[in-house]
Amino acid sequence: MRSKNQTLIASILLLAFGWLHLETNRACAVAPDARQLMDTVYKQDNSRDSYWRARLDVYDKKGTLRSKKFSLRKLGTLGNSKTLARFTDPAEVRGVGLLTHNQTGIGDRQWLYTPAIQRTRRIAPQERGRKFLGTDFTNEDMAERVLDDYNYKIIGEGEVIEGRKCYKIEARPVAADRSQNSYVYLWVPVDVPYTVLAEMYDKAGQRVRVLKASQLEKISGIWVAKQVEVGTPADGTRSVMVIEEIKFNSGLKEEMFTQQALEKADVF
Amino acid sequence: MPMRSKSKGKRQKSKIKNAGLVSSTKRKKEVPTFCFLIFAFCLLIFPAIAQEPTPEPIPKPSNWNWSLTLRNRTGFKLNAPHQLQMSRTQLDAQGVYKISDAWRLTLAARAHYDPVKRLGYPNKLWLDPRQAVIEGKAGKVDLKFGLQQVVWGQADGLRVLDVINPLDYREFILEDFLESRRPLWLARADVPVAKGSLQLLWVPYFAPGRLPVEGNEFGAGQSFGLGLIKAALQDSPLAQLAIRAEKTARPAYQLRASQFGARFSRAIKTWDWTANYFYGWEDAPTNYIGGLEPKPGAELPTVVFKPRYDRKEVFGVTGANNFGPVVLRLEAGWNRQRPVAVNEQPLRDGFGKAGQFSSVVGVDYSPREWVWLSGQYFLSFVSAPQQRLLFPRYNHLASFFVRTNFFHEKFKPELFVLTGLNQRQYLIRPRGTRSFGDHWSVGLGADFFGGKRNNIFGFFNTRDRAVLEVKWQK
Repeated sequence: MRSKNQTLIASILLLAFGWLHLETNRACAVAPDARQLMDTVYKQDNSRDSYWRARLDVYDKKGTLRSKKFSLRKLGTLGNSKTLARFTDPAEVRGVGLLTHNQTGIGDRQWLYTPAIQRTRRIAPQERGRKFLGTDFTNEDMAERVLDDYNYKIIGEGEVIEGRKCYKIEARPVAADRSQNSYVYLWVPVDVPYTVLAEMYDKAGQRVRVLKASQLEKISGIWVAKQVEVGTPADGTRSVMVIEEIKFNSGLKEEMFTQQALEKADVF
Repeated sequence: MPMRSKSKGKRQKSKIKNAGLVSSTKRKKEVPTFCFLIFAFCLLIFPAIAQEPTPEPIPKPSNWNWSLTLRNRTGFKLNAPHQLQMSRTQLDAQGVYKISDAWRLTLAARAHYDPVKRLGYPNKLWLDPRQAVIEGKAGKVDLKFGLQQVVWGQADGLRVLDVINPLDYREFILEDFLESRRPLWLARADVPVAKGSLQLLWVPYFAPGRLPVEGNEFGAGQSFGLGLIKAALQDSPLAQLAIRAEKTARPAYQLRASQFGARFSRAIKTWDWTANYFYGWEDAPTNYIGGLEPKPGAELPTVVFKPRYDRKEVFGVTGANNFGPVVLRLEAGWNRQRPVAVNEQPLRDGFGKAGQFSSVVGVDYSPREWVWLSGQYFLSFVSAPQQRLLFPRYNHLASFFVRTNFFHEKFKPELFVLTGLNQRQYLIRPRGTRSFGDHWSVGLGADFFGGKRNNIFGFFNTRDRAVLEVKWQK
């Protein structure tokens, strides 16, 4: 009887100790390093190549909708990549292609192909803060993220966004020329390495833009938001990007990212 | 939570399976239980379905992609006589067929009608095939066969190395080059070579530019260009002579009339470079003097011109780079044996062969997202002394282009100015386009010419016009 009791007590103690140990670990997990967390967010897409087909719905102040459809092919890794974006709708921009080579040490080089003149032009990479094709997205939103552009700090935890508990992170650019924003609040779910909400603020502390990512899905082991909305509260405008198709690691080749490829009648 | 629902669901499923194995007597008793289980299963499953609606199946995209554009451009002369200059209605249809991931077929055609009939277009409905191209890849080589346009060069509004396709000059150079280039049946191959790409072109025949005739709004004499020569000779006694142009001689449809081009492109650091070569034909005939013939009842004879097409051989180079927000464009070409009008006595055929150098330096800059600026300096000269030449040896031009957009790209005003620097001549083209939704747009613009009559823009200085364009595209 005695030994049974001893065993029971020992078991309870062990369980209690185990529980304490688990809780301690969990407590440690609650406060990860903010920079490390964002590094995971930026690097979770470790694909060699990707193909996206998407629709951009742009709503003006009156709520009038204009849609643009495009496809995007990307080859390479963060900081050393090639992308080819092609517009397929509406007719005004059908076939327009934008080729970007991002090479370490050289920076971005861009070429624009306009079917209306059947010519490829070298263009200057646009300023980060500039609106992307008349939408609420900016070039910075569309560009690859650079972890080192910001300093990060976790300032909250537990807020539920898109049904997921999130960390709230404050990101401040390391230098003014690294970002169009003065500071940004980011919400990253505890269980998914993805930014589901971002609020961008200007120098006066005004919230200038809000980015919401929804319909998170894991495709080929990579988290993707199938809908991303950016609103500009001051202008009363918003733009929604809806991903219609996405493929990772489908074997895209280097030769699909040349000026010859840019000039192809690829409107599908 | 979804995990719990799943495991419960599994349990229900196994119960349902088991229910299927019991005997018929037991089955009757278990019918209510079975129904309950089904009901419970549905309760568990349906909310899950409601939470995650089945995504609509994505329809498989068609292998055809069609584009249609219907537009009317109506021009009204701003000089006397104030009248309609054109009302060109064009229906452009283009279909792209995806044969496979690597191969495409593009077919494009235009139906054209202009009831005003002052520019020299056919008087009836004119069907103009614009593209019939099959393109794809064989190994690493990009191939493109069929009726197509090939655009070389970096210049806007002026042609230095954009010499493959001849132009339609019936609206002078006021139409976009894409619209006015005459497509050619040709074979094109882009071959990857060491650190670059080599483009090879073969046009198996001769095709001239489409030229206005005398009496057309942008006609320039009995044979195209004679009007300019006459204007240049206005102070000379030769200007008193009557002229007659014979039918233009053109090369026969023979293999030796074919044309050939090659372009090597490569990037060196951040620069894009090309080296170009084209052996083809001039767009417009050279108006050689064939002789003098006595004119019955007149003291002075008539000068007879025998226009014919000359070969052209062009070597060139282009370069482009961006320096921060500024893009620099360079283009230079050397036309080895260009026929140039000469001012020699005794008068032989009126033309001599000389090299012609043409070049463009262009700078593009976009200081704001709603404005794009472009400036170009254009220089050309011929390798013959001025005293031999009828026209100035040097030609310096500058162009300025500003394009803007407002209201989410719905309103796009723009201005293009081309002006002579050593000869007084200009072309000024303001235009504003307003789009309505995704399909409709209305544009209003004007074209102003000025300069001396022996300059190309001065020659048309009584053809200023306003142009209204209505376009629908899908």
